[in-house]
Amino acid sequence: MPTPEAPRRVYNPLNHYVALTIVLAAFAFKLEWQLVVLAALVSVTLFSPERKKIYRGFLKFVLPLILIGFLINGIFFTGNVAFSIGPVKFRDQGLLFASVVATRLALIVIAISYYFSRVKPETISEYLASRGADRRFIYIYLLSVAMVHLMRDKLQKIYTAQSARGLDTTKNVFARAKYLLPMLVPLSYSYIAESLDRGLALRAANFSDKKSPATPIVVPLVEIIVNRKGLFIGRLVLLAGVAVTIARFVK
Amino acid sequence: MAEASSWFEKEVNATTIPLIAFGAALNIVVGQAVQLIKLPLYLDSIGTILIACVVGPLAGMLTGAFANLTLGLFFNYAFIFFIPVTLVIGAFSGFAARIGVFRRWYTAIPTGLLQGVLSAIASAPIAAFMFGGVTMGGTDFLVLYFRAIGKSIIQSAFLQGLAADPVDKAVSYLIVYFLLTRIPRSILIRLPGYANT
Repeated sequence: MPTPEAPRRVYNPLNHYVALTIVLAAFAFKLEWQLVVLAALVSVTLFSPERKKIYRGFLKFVLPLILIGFLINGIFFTGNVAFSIGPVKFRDQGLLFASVVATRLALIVIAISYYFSRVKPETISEYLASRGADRRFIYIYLLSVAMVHLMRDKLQKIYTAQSARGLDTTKNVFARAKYLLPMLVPLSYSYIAESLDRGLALRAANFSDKKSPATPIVVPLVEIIVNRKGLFIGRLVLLAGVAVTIARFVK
Repeated sequence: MAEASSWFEKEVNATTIPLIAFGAALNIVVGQAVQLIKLPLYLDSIGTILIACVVGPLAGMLTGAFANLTLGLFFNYAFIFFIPVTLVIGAFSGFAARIGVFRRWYTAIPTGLLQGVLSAIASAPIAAFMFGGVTMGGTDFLVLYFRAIGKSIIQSAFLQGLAADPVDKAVSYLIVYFLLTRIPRSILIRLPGYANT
């Protein structure tokens, strides 16, 4: 007996318009307004179920970057001394510059993390295909993601085999560099051959180089209305963001 | 316009798409290989340079862009902002391959050095204005040093790039040259850019 299909979750384009607008805001707004947007974004994301995923990456990669930025720019910028810790003097201009960079980074990273924690790459690909995007790009993206995992496994196997043959990572740099080619040659050789075969198969299967036909997924009327509204509001917000950015830089 | 479109079709088609995906994955995996054998280099453009050589500059640019996009989405968002640098690497190495720099090691190395200078120029404004000069790479201490001797933030980011990128790219070019000499001719002959090898 055929199993009933799970209801399809339709991608709302408002998602990417909001994310793009926040990225624009990171460049367009002055520090005070950036902080307002950041406060709003943090309060939304902190209460979302994806908060662990978002802030784990933020704490691991972005927070150290921000702290080092404050240290380097605070110490080495010119300007008045804001405060000092022992002999180390922190300048106000440097701290201000580091604050702008930190807020900008936080805005961009939290917005993008939030977006990708809610939307899966396959859903975006499906949406882009339904909007008539070039299938080649979608295929390259999905295939490269799949290949990374396969190639990592293969590399690990080659590394284990090389270790068994005497690869020693405690030797000097030049000795270690010699191990790189015996690892990369078999990896590249097998995957170039496989990619060429895959290309032949694609050609044989008549893979179209043209854009995919815009065939929207069949969805209930309510969702279409929500999507259209989302599209309209999203474009409006993005346009406002672009206008503010241009005005800021022209001024 | 029609010429540009046909150029695009020539480099991005059913035959080359899997190669571009492979190149993007290779960029990421070589980074892992470098960590495994603890080399003080990035070598994260080998896939881009290889595909630019065996397919063409446009394919190389796409390879770099997709590699950084994937790295950005799955590992560290900072990579996404450096996509313009990968475009420079893909375009330059593709055109360099057309004049035959990958046929001899002694032409590959200086071209790699030049590529490194171009990469440093392209990455300096991004590193300076997006990240305040700090990228959490192993060469951040150089930014610290250049700032300490009175250079501006963009000068420091550029000089830091100049200290690291030319060597990294020259080694990458040399590795691509060796890869091309070790991959059997029966495979190379099937590649669109066979004449460049």
